[in-house]
Amino acid sequence: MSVRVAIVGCGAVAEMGHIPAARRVEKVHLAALVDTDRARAEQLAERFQVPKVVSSLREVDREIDAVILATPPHVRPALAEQAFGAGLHVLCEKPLANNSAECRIILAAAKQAKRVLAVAHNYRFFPNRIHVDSLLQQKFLGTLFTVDVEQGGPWDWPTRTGYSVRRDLVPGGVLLNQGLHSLDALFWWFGTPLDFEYEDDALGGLESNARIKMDFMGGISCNFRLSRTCTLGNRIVIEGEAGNLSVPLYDQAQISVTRNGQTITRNVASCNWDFVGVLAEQLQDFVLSIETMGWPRVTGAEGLRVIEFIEKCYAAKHQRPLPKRAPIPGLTW
Amino acid sequence: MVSYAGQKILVTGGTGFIGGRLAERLAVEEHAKVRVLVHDWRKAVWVSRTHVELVQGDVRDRDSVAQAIQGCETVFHCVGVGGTLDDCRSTNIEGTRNVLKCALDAQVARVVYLSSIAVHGPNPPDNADEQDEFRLTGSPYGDSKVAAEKVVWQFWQDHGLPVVIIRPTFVWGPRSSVFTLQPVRSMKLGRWFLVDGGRGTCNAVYIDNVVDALLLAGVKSEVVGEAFLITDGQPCTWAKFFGHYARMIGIEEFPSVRSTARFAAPVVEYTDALLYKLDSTPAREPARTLVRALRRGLRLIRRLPARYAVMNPWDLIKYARRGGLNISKARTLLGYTPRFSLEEGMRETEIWLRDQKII
Repeated sequence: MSVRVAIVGCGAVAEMGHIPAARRVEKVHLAALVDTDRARAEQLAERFQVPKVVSSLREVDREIDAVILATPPHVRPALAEQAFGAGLHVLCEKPLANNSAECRIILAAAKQAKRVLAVAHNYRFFPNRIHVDSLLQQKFLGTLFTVDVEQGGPWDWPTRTGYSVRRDLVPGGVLLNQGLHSLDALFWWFGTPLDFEYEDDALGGLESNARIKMDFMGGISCNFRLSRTCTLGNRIVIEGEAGNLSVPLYDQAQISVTRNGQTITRNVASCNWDFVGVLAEQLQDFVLSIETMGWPRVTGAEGLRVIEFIEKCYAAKHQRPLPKRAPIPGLTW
Repeated sequence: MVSYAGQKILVTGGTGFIGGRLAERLAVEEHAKVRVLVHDWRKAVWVSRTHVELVQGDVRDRDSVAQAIQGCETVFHCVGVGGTLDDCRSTNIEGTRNVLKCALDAQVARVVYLSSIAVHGPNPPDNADEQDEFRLTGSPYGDSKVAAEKVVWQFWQDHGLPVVIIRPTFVWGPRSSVFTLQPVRSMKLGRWFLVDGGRGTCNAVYIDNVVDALLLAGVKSEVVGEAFLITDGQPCTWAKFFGHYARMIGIEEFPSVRSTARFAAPVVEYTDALLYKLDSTPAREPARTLVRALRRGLRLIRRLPARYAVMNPWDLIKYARRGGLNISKARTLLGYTPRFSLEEGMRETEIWLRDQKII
């Protein structure tokens, strides 16, 4: 039996990811598109042959089993509560919400409705990330020393609302919007950090460059450099006593292992997934959770965990007074 | 000086290089309430770091400008694009007309318009000042800036709109595409050329010096209806200027082209246009052989001038020009003193280039 799904929010991520992904998953019937901009929803519905278009979730909630919330984050708590109230399962785009208080509202609503809440930290579905997790569990590198993460490129997401650069709609910039994926991977592998230092380039607005130093359990120290203005290495390098592992951030299958001075690069999966393929895998996992009423790969609690940490970073920064002179653009402080 | 603190200000072009730094400094240093007109959200990643208000709009859409200008006391009109004739016309000329019309309707106290040295052409006479004539050269950007300035003067003369015009020269520093990023990236690829050995005079201006001038233009009372040329006030050779970038990336010398090579570019352009027209090969003889022979001949003709046509004629003239520019009016009337020397500006620029992993 297929799961009847509606996608709420017809912005870039719905167009480029969720709608084509839903069409790839056999057990999903994409029943409706929901957007306050009806013309936009109709345009996408025609292009992807989705049978129904509505302006509000209420108009369709009795005809579906689940929703994908692909809206900007500031409207997600209300929509999630509404969906759970109608007995629907929810796959929520990242970040789960703008702050931890709103995340908890969503988690509580899911718990009360006894419905599945999955969070779209889609990098968790990359085969190389899963492979790293398994290698780390096998203590492949022995004692771990350092983790170095570089994530950055000029921001070119074809946003319709511009929400991720608007401080009236979101509390954070590159860390909340993009850095969240790498943080989620780090917390998955190493747990939440015991200590951290944070700096960014925001001057009363939203950061576009950030640096975090984190200390994880077992004496692992991590440097994380993040940018949406410049191109960085875009990789995660984990160094241990037996060698190091390197994972390209935007490649799903590749992994490089250096041991005894020799580096071997290989693909850990034969599939060459694209963005839609990753989202299809995520949707498959969501459907499986609905069928079995089990946990999805990324739970609401894990969505909350990242937001709680990001909140701590921003709080630490806000304790410092703004510089009196505008620093060189991009420099963190 | 009158403070900007608490003043409501609209910056057009605030996601760009000059307007962006201006908006940043107005918000952080001057504590102004800044509104920035955003045409493309993706370009807002720099200015969104400050506590400015971002509103979606486009100078080509008068309604969106009228909405954005509401309640603003001062407007800094910093939008300017290069590219095709149509783009330059619609944005630089008609966009300026829209902004000024809306400013007039909204009765703003002052409009500061960011013009360019380009209005005087690539080769103004030695020691030229603001009185130097406007020159049309056929460059879409330069000619559109001339036309846009004429629109600004018309609003001042016919409607009494309080305007101040800032004409910076070649603006460099962090985020400068034309005078920092482009040369540095080209140098790294071994594709940067000096003109006439770099002996031409560089009258460039560091970004924060231009912003200082813009900030003065927004508050000084005696400057309405005036235009000001803005440079670093410290002319040097282009070889010295670009030498700073070369040092940063470890290059000792670069090749040079002669300024006379400007005559090569039209030849290349013309042969390219002909080659484009002869793109498809006719199926029948003798046209087939004739077209093939013509193409071969044109490629041979093109080969020699193409070796010299590494820069457009405008740039060749600009980099070959020897002589100063007179900024004494800005110094005396506007109270402008260049704060950053070439060396200081280069130090800041190097920090930025390294931080952003460009070098």
